[in-house]
Amino acid sequence: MDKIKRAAKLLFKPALAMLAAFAIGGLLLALAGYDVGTAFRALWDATFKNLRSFTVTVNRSSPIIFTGLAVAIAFRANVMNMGAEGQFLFGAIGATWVGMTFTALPGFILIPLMIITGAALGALWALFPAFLKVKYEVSEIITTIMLNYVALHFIGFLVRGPWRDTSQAEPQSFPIAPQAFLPELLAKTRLHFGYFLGIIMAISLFYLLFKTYLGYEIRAVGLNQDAARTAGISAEKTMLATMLLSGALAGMGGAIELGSIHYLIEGISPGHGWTGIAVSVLATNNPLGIIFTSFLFGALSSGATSLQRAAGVSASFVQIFQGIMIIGIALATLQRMKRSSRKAVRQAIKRKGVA
Amino acid sequence: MKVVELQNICISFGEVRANQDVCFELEKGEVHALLGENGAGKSTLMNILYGLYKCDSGTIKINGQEVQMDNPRTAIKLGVGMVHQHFMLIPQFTVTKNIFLGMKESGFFLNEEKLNREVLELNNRFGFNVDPTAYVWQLPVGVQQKVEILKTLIRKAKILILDEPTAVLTPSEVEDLFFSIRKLAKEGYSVILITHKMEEVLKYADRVTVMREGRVIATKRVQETNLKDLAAMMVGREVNLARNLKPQEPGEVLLKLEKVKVKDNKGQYVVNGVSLEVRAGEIVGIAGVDGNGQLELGEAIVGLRKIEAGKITVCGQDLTNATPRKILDAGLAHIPDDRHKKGLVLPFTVKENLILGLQRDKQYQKGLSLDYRKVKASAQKLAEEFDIRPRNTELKAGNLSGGNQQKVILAREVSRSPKVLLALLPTRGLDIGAIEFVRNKIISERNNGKAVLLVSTDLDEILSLSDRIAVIYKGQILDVVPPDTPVAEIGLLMGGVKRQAEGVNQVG
Repeated sequence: MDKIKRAAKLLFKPALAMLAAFAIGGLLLALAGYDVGTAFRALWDATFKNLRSFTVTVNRSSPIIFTGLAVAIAFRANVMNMGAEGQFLFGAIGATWVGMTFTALPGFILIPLMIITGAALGALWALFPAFLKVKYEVSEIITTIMLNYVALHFIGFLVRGPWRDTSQAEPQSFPIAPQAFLPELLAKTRLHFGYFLGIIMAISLFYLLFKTYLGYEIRAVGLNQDAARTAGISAEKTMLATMLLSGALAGMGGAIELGSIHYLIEGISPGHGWTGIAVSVLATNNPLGIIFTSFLFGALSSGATSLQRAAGVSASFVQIFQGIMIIGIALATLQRMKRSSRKAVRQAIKRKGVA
Repeated sequence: MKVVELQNICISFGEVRANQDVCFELEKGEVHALLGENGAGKSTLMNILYGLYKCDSGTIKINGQEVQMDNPRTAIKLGVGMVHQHFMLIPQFTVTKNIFLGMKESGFFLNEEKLNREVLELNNRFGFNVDPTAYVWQLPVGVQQKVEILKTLIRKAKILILDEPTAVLTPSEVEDLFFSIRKLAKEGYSVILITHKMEEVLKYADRVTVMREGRVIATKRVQETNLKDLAAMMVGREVNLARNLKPQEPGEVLLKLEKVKVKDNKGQYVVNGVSLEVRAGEIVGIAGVDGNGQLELGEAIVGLRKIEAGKITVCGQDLTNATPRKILDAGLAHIPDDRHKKGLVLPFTVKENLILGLQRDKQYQKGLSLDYRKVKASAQKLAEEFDIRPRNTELKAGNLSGGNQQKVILAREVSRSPKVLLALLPTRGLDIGAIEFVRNKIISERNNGKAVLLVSTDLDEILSLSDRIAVIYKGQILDVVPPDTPVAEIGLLMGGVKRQAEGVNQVG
C-alpha cells in the first residue's frame, strides 16, 4: 500500500505538468489560428493510434531513457554532467567500430559486444572531465559541454574520412554487419529492445541508489559533501565512479541507437543528451520516474513530424510543449514549498542567513 | 510606560501549539530578556510582534494602542525593529549601502557622503565603532551584528528585538555589544533579547521572561533570580552542570600528537608544533579563544586537513596524513564542530544519518544491498538510548532541533565503539537540557576508558569536563594545567601570558 502511494506521489507531478502543458499548448495553438483538434489528433495518431505508431514511440524513447538515467545518476552525486550528448556519441562510435570490424561474430555475441564497447567508450569520455574535476577542481559543466563538440566533430571526421561509405551521397560510415542489426521484436515493425533494456537499467539504478551502500554514498556526497568526507567517504572516488557510470549509461544508449540505425552519421543524435537533462529533471532525478518521462518525450518526438504534416504546425512546437512541462515541474516543486507556508517562512529566514 | 503589550497570544503550526496564552510586556528603556530552550516559542512570539507570523488569537499593543501587525513593514512603521539570528547583509556592499538598502529616504541616487555622516552620528551616540565605508565582507561577525542594529535604528525603531545576538560572538565582542545595548536603553530605547544563555541574562538584562513549551513560566526582575532558578524554570527540572568527575587513574596513551604543524585555508600556519598525549579514561580539554588553531588541529587529527610536519598516533598506529576512513577505522570517533555542515546530511533521514560512515559495515549488509531492516532496528535502539526526539527515525534530520541533531551525531559516533573520542565544540548552540545530556555522555565515555580530547571555547565547559586542561594560544600549547588551577590564571594563559617561576612572560 505504501509503495503504491509512493509511486502515485512520484507520478503526480509529471502528470500534472503534462496536463498543464497540453492545456497551455492547446491554447497557444488556438491563438495562433490552428485547429487544435486536428493538431492533437495528429499527435495521437502518430504516437499511440496503432501498433505501428506505438512501436515508433517506444523506439524513440530508447536513447532518451539512457541519457536521462545518465544525467540522473550524476545529478544525484551533485556532478553536473552536461556531457551525456558526447558520451552518447562515443557510445555510437564504439558500437560502429565493433559492428564493422568483427563481422565474423554471430549476432548474439556481436550485439552485446557493441553495447559493452559503447558503454566503455562513453565512460571513457566521461572519465576525462571527472578526473579534471576531482583532481584540479575544473568545473565539469564546462569540460563536459566542450567535449560534446569534440565528440560531434570526431564523428564528422570519421564519416568523411576513414569510415566513409563512398557508395553513399551523404557522409556516413559503412554499415555494421547485418547480424549486428538489432532484432525486430514484432513482425512488420522496427521495435527493438532498447527501451526495455532501459527500463531494466532504470530499475537497477534505482536499486543501486536506494538499496546499496554505493548508492548511499553517492547520495550522501551529492547532498552534503563535507559531511560525507568527515564520515570517511571519499567524495573524489564517489564522484569519479558516478561519472563513469553516467558516461557508461549514455554510451549504452548511443550503441543501441547505432544498432537500430545500422551506420554512423553526424546527425545520429538530435540532442538526445540534452533531452536527457529535461527528462531527468522532470522525473526529479528519480530513475523510476525516468521510465515515464522518457516515454513521454519519446512520444512527443515521434509526434512532432506528423504534427507538421497533418496540421501544418511547426515541429518545433513540440519543444514548446517540453519547455512548458519543465516549467510546470518547477512550479509544482514551488507549490509544495508554499503549502506549509508558515513553517517555510521560518525555515527560509534561517536558510537565507546561512547562505 | 509600557511600549509593548502582548496579551494572550496563541499560535499553532499544524499540531504544534507554539504559543499558548502568552502574555509579555516591555517597559520603555529596559532590556528585557526572553529566555527559553530552543523550541520554547521565543522566536515565534517575536516573529508575531514583528509581523512575520499572524497569531491565531490575542492582541498586540504598541504604546498602549492596539495594532494589527500584518507584515514587517507595519512593524517598522510602528517603531519595531528586529535583528535576526542570521544576518541579512550583502557582503559586497559597504556598511552604509547595506544600512540604507531598500529605504526610499535615501533617494534614487545615493549621496553616500551624506548617508555616511548619518551613520557616523548614530555610531558616536551609541559607541558602535563601525566604519561606514567598510565593505561588509571585511568585517568580523561582531561588527556585522552592529550593522544590523544600525539598520533598524536608521529606520527609526524604538523597540529592538535581538534574536540570539551573541550566538556567534567572541566574549569580547559580547561585552562590546552589550555596552552599546545598555547605552541604547539609557537613551529610552527598549530592547528585547531572545536568548538561551542565562549568564548573559543575569549580567546584562533588567527583567527576564522565561518560556517553556510555548508558555510563559514567569517574568522576574533579574535581581530577584539566579542561575539555578532560571535553569529550573527553563528546563522544568533541576539541571546540574557542575563538575561531576570521579577521579580515576588514566591508562595507556591512545592519542599522541608530536610537534604537529597545520596550515589554515589561507596557507598560514595556525598550529605550530603541538605535542599532546591523551590517555585512556581521561578527558583532556583544549581551552583557548576561538581562532587559535584549535579547530584546524581537530580537523588534522581526523584527516581532513594536511599535516605539514609532525606525527599523529592513534592507538599506536601512525596515522599522519592518513585518510579519514583509515583514521576512523583505527578507533577514532569524531563530533565535528559544525553539525549542519560536517556532522549530518540534513535531507537524509535520522536512520540514514545514524549509519553515515558505517554504511559499509558488515552488520548492515545483506547480499549486495544495505539491510535497511537492521539499520532501522539499530536506529530505533539508539534513538531510545540517546533520547532522540521525536523517536521517529524516518524523519529528515533537518527537521530535528539542534539538540536532537547533536544527539544523532553523538549516538552514531559512540555506537562505533571508538577508543578515542574527539569532541569539537560539542555543545555549541545547544540549549541547557541538551548540553547536560551531551556532557554526561562524554563523561560516561571517559568513565568507560575512552580517551577524550575536548575542544571548546567555553571555559566553563572545559573546567567542568577536563581531567587536564591544555591551553592553546596562537597555535601552540602554552601549558597543560590541572582543572583546579585558578580561572584567572587559565584566562591569562588564554590571552598568551604564561606565569613562570621567574615571573610573567609574554609569549607570541
